[in-house]
Amino acid sequence: MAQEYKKPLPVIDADYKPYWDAAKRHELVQYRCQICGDFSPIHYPITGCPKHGRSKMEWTKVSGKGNVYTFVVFRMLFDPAFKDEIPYNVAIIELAEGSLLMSNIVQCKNEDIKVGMPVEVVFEDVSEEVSLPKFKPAP
Amino acid sequence: MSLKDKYVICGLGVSKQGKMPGVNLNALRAEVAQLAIDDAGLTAKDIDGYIYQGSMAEMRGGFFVGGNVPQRLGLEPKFIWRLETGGVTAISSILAATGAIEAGLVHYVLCLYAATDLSEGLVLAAPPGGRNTPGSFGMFSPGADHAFAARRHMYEYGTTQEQLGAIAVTQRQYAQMRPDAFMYNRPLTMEDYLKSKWVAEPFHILDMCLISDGGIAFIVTTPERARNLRPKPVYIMGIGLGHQLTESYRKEQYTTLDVGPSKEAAFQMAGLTIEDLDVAQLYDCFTITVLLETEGYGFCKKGEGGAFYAEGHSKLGGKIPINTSGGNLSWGYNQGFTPVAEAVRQLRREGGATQVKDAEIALCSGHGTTSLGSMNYAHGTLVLRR
Repeated sequence: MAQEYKKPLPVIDADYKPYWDAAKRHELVQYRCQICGDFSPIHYPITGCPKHGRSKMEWTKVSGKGNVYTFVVFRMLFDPAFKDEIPYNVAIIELAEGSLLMSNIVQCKNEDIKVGMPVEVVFEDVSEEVSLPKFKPAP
Repeated sequence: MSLKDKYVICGLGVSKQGKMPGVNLNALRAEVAQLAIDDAGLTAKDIDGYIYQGSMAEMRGGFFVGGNVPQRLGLEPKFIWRLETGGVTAISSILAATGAIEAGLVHYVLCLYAATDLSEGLVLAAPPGGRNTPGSFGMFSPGADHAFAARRHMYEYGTTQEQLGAIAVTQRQYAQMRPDAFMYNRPLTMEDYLKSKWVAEPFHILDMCLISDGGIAFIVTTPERARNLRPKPVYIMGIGLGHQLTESYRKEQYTTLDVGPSKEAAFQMAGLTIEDLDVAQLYDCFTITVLLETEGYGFCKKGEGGAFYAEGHSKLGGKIPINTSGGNLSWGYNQGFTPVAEAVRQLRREGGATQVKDAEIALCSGHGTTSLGSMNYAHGTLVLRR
């Protein structure tokens, strides 16, 4: 599997290792302020709490449920690794806990994706180290 | 202390816009620099400061960007600065120039952008956000980043594809009246727009700025030093810069551009409101950018930017003529230098068939980033008068 996967992989550095370690266990975590309980609103790039900075942030397991906040459908190829996927979607997911996350909608035709549509996380194991959190329509 | 009316743009150089196969980037830079120097009636030796923005194709090659323009022209600048704040660079370069003049170090600062990106086959595919995480989901290009905003704006405010198209079509109409535009003699109908190639839905290729060869240079000095020069000086009334980084904590970032702090600073310095503006040149990397700026500056209410363009309020004779050369979408892509050049031309009454009658005060904007991601951009505002 690892040898066949040609698409770009996330860079797993010290900042993001807990996130990708959790994904490998098929758990979705988000960065949360331990002072006020708010989740870091944007998963990428990593941010702190609007009120309390990064002093007391902790990776916290979230429900994996949310809705489609916005999305695009790529019809032009930018990277040859995605040749067989065109047209493919990239979506911003609004998690139930409030943060936004970039991902893909799977198990759904592009023309059926709607802003506001409920979705839930599924994990794709793409290499030894990486499982990508993706989202499918939720019942 | 305000810099209102203390500095002017005294020379403008604009090259041909379009495709120039085989053109040498540094020769093109030298050409637009010489055009600006000649326009002002100065000599190369008068230029004692030089600020430039690198081309995107050139920056793929690494650190050594900028070439031998001073040597080609015989400039003897006290500094050569490469400045990069994306589409805000033109405005940032004016601010840097005024600072150097204010310090008493220099008298005439040349600000320049040129690119041969079209001939070099540039495709802007840098993944937003840096690193590779967006790329692992197939996310590439600033265009797709802005298409997220377009989709969300459609959802929240009912903005339509045709309303985005109205921005592209209106700017193309302006370009049909400007023989120096890259897209001159290439008219565009709404039907053409709707049938054009998708890049990342909801963006067609025609929602995106041109990739073109060409360049622009201008010279900043004091009113005293411009007094005996040939062109009528264009006064810098106000400058503002801002990021509104706290927006990144709010979901509104997908439907609101970071105009606020920049606009307030510039308008306060200039001592005016949008009612005083005769013409606006809004930075137009994408159609949605123009729409969000139009709302952000208050030319229409939030959410009504699409209708504003569909109803023709940005045309000559409309509420406020916007992007009167055709802009980065249809005239030629020169980053934030395109809006500044057109504002200078309008105020010098050199706008040809798209001249706004009696234009006295012009707004320019810049929108850009050096770190892509989550629509979290810098904004620049420049108010000019004749």
